[in-house]
Amino acid sequence: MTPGDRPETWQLMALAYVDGELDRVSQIEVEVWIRTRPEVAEFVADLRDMSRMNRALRDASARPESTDLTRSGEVISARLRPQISERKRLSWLRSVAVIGFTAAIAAALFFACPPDHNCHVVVPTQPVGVPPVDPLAEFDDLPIASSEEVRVSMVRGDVGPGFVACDALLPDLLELATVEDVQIERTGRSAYSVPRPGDSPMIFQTRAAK
Amino acid sequence: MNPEPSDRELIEKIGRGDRPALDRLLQRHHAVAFRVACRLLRHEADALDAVQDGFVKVLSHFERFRGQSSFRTWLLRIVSNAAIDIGRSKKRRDARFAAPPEDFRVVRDPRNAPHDFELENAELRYKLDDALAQLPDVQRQTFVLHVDGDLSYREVAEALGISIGTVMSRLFYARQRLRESLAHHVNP
Repeated sequence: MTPGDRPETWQLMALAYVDGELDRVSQIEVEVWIRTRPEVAEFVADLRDMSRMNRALRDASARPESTDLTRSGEVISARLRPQISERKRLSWLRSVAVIGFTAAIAAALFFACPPDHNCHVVVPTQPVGVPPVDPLAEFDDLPIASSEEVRVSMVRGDVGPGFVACDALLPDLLELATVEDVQIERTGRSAYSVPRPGDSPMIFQTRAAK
Repeated sequence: MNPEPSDRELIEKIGRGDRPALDRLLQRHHAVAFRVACRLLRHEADALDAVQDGFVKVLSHFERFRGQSSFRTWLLRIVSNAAIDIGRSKKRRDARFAAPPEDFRVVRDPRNAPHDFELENAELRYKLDDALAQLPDVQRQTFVLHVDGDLSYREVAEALGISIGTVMSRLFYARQRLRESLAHHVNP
């Protein structure tokens, strides 16, 4: 037997038997097998040896007598409470840092790419008068490809062709991808949601990756 | 003499704001939590970190415990996940485990040692831990929760959010791998 083999039902039953997980009827059934089938008896004997060895090693394994949390006379929750306070304080500081960093990036991008600059607008090539085709229309749930392969952004269906977040490198590198272009990792429900009915999701692909 | 209160009774007391009950509950399960973390991480200091992280989470989110599973199942899920996280983040600094078995620090209690097994065999322990470390995280976690955490198949399934059949399959593969690694010890 190799590790890749799927276990057979009798093997799983034998495993559950050795672990004491079977009800009385199933136990009797396995005991009959053991008496009548040598391969089952051998398998069960191996499992028992393994089980005995594991439990022996477990019983002799490390114990926490010397730990900080179990010093005699110490109260566990009292010792942990300062850590919780510290974590909350760090969490709060982290939030402030993230907000500050995001604001700084937004300000930098705003001054680098003012709103009337084209660099933040991605307009998929679309002949005038032809209704836009949604390459993902057949999907109820948006399939997401690897982040290395594509960038996902929102396209506001009610205001125009669409845009992505301002990023000086993106407009020249991106193009609209089709489902043939991207490697779909999963077709189940996507974590990416469409917040408004007028919005439609789109997938862009870097040309270099194509 | 009052009988030892059950976990459920302690949890009810905790719900009424009884702090000593919480300490008693954590103290009661500390040893098994440490054992599970130690087996998953193979390192005492890291295991202590995992237990500490797990206990902090338990204290922070105690109100989320619904009582659908036992407290031990819930605690071991949290501690084992913390141990897996720590193990992943520290995988790069595993050079110390290349040391010979005698460097593997364990605190043993000879009073609990079964007589029919050679517990002084540090090599066997090292090989078992080494074989365990080679298993995928999900198999290792399942195996350790069952063997070291003393959780039944159903409890392991509840802890990991998987079916009992999946628990059995993972245990089967884990044992198969361990058996191959320890073949000459199991069948001398």
